[in-house]
Amino acid sequence: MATILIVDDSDFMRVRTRQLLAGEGYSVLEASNGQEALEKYREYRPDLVMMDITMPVMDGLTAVREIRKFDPQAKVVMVSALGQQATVLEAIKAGAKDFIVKPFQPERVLATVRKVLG
Amino acid sequence: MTQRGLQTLTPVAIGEGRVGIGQGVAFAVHGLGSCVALCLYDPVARCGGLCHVVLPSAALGRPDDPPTRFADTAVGWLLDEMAALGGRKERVVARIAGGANLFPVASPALAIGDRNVAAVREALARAGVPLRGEDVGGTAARTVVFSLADGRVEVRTAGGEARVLL
Repeated sequence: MATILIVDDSDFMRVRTRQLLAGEGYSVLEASNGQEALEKYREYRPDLVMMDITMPVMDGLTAVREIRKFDPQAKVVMVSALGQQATVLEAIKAGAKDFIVKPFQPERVLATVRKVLG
Repeated sequence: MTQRGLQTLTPVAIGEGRVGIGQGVAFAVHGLGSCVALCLYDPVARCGGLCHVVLPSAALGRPDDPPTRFADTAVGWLLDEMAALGGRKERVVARIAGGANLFPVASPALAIGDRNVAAVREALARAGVPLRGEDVGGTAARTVVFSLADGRVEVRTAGGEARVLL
């Protein structure tokens, strides 16, 4: 089963996403900012990254660029909110595969994860 | 979704909840009768959310109903979702509109508009969220627009009367 790295500074989002994905049998890793995500990506090479946008230390857009620089094949899905469309577009240009819009909708998260993992 | 100047207006259907961030976002609720538009806003993070509350308590619904549907669960849901956007509970303020009683009823227990408003006020007080403005009660349906540019809530009643909760 695939390994998924959840990147979000909100405990609430990480906990809910972890419960959902672990419940479906995925292995789950977590990071609370872009810098930590980059370090965990290098160490564990997850199959998919779910990336929040607004985070301290290193934001999600910068983290996508850094991860794709390290691994041009990296699969990243942006977790965005209404009002962040411009940043999502930048992330897609930087190589992100898809995006999910908050609030948290379990079916939407799973459908996107399955589609991107292929 | 429709465009209103530089803002995208996102409709929030009955029982639903939406959240967003930034001045380009606004939410709209059309034909609000006994339901309450519960609008929470963090002016520093400029994030906010709206729940289209239908009933006072989740105990009145089915187990698989979403928390956004009920006064007693919607406040916590909004605070959690806003925290995920950088919102901080100690900065969050509330504005509410709706809770009309469109039809005369025989007993206060059946006045669902009044009960919704009372339950929303109570849930906000319990969560420690200050209520900054309200346009509630009466017998006319309302249309509500909540802007994340400054947190204002514009309320229009069926009679054409307009109010701004700032």
